[in-house]
Amino acid sequence: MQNLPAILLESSPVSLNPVTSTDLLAILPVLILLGTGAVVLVMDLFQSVPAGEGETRKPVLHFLSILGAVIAGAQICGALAAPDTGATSFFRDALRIDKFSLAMSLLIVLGAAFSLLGAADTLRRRGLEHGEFHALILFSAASMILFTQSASLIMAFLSLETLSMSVYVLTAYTREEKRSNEGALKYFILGSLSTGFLLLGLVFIYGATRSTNLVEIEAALRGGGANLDSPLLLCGLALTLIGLSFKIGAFPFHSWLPDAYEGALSIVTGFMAVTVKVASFAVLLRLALLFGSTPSAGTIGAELHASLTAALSTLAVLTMVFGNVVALVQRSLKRMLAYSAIAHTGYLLVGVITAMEAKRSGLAAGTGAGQAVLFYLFPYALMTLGAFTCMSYLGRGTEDCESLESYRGLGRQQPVLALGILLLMISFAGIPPTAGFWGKLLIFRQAIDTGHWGLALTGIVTSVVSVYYYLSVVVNMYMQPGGENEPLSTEPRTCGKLAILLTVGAVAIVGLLPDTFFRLSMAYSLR
Amino acid sequence: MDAFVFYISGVLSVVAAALVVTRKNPVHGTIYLVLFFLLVSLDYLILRAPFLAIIQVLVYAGAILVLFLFVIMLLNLSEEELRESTSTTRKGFAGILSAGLFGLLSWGILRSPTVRNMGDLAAPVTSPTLAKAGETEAIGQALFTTHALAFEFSSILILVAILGAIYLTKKRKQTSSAPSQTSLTGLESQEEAGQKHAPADGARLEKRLA
Repeated sequence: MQNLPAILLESSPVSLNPVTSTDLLAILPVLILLGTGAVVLVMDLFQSVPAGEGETRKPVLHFLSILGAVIAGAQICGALAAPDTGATSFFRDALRIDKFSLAMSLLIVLGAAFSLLGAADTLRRRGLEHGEFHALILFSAASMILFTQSASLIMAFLSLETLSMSVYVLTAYTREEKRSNEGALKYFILGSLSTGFLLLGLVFIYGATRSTNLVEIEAALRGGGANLDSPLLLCGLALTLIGLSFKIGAFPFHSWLPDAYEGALSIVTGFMAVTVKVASFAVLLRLALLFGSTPSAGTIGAELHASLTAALSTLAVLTMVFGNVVALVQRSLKRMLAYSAIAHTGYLLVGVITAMEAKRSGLAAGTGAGQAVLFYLFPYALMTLGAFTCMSYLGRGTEDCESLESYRGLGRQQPVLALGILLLMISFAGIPPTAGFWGKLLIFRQAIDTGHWGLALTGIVTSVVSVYYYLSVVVNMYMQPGGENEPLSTEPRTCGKLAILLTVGAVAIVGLLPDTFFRLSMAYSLR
Repeated sequence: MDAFVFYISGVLSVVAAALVVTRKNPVHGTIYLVLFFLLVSLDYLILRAPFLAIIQVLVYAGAILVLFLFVIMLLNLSEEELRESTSTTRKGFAGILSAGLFGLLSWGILRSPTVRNMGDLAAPVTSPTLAKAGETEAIGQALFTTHALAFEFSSILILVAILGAIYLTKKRKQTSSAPSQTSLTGLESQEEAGQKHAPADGARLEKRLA
């Protein structure tokens, strides 16, 4: 009976106030997002629907929700700009906020704000302007922020579940479309399965370290002594890794991803591809560094490092090769981008492995680890948001224009839209001097520095392969003669133009000024 | 006494779990699942966690599975639909995966020093905190102090779930610009999607690769 849950035994002095005002101030951005979501949901009930064609019928919803996201983003920016005081715990160690988690939160809020901005036109065109959309985006962004900041396994699990639940519903948002229902159902079933794996994994980690708190788990790892149960810990890590691999869409666990990405509205696909990936990678990186690079008293540290590196490397190689090869044969742009999202997961996994290696060998002592992942994720988020926002204008009414051939002649018909897609595709392919190029360069450079030649080589070869399919979009837009059918497209309105302009512009700026952003990602890396 | 109860409930729960996956009739399967959950709640009692045992009976066996039963009965599957079987390769694949998972977990548990040095579970508990750890008071303390944020945040989880369920099933008034918004229940659309939606290129290629 000596091994009863430590959770229930903590005999900390019970204060009458489990929540203090400092705690609440720390999660102010989350509260703003949740509050805006609730307000938007209620506002929707009082919106009348005038019959006027072509007018945004519920401008208040868009305005309010974007405003909420922008205020939350400003809050996070303020916290980022404040002097670095290290990680601070809130809510009795349930949350741990540091510069890294704030930077990741900023990316998430950015993703939500751009998705809301770009969504106005699509929702109006499809007749789908409901408050639920905005509320779900805001709620999921709030839970993603908590996910990246959580320092307790319980909080991590709860917030992951909330964010997944909102994304399942968003995938099925176009209810009358079979494709969307199919994708959402696959996502839901496989997602629930992965949640089961993850929960079992977390329970095993708890059993092995006797704590659900990451700080205490780190102490147990450092001690390496009697309080650590290595077989249980390895089991738990394996299961947790499987669970997280489902969420990031790494190779053997990716099967839901193409269908869900294809079935959802383009805007929702962009939102999922960016924010779910950012949040999951933030937690994956934190866990990988915690378990794979904490110096421990016994042999457990080396053992964990070796097995985590082996598992992640296998995943990374398989994911890079599979994603890029299958993307080559896609006939639909949306599906092609879905497979390329899998490929980018592979590159990011290489970044996680190198961060682990750098931290363990002491390379990261002064600079922190994981700056490559951060530096890659920022332009990746912008490119993906931009690409899917552009895609949401390819189509008319409820009809989508998706096969690569149907873009022939788009360069003449919609020069601005086509130029945006051109820039984003070049950046995705990693052709210098674009943002995508610098991100890949940093990741492969670090892989070589830490001795992972195989990973760097696979990455370089597969990104050369990827140039083919990204550029085939451009070839179809500009160089193929248009058929008798003009490509279906809709003219972006103010909101949409702003979203495309901002994302494409930001991608261009990151491409031209990589130094500034590299310095920022160094400052916000995980210590 | 504890050991006796554990072995009886252990053997019975393995039998019940096997019956859940082998029964053709989903109603029978669900009833065996209820039995399985009831037997697991006995294990919680043996581990001196009465609160969890009660919750297991009330929430899982009582609420969730009864809901399952209602849904299955409302679906009213015909004889032919019940007779449909999955292909043997698929079953084999699932079997291998489950065996792998079972192997991994039993490796971890059998090698674990914690489990080996567990000692006699039936021995009387001496420490007063340990004796009370599984009781409602201790769990309530932890929920409202250490885990206050998680406890409060679970309301957002439930809110999102309710929101999604209502949005996906609610009938909407037909609007002028929207196409025919017939309310599809999730299951109809799933069947139709399965029958009519041709597998896309990627899926086909994946099959070939596999």
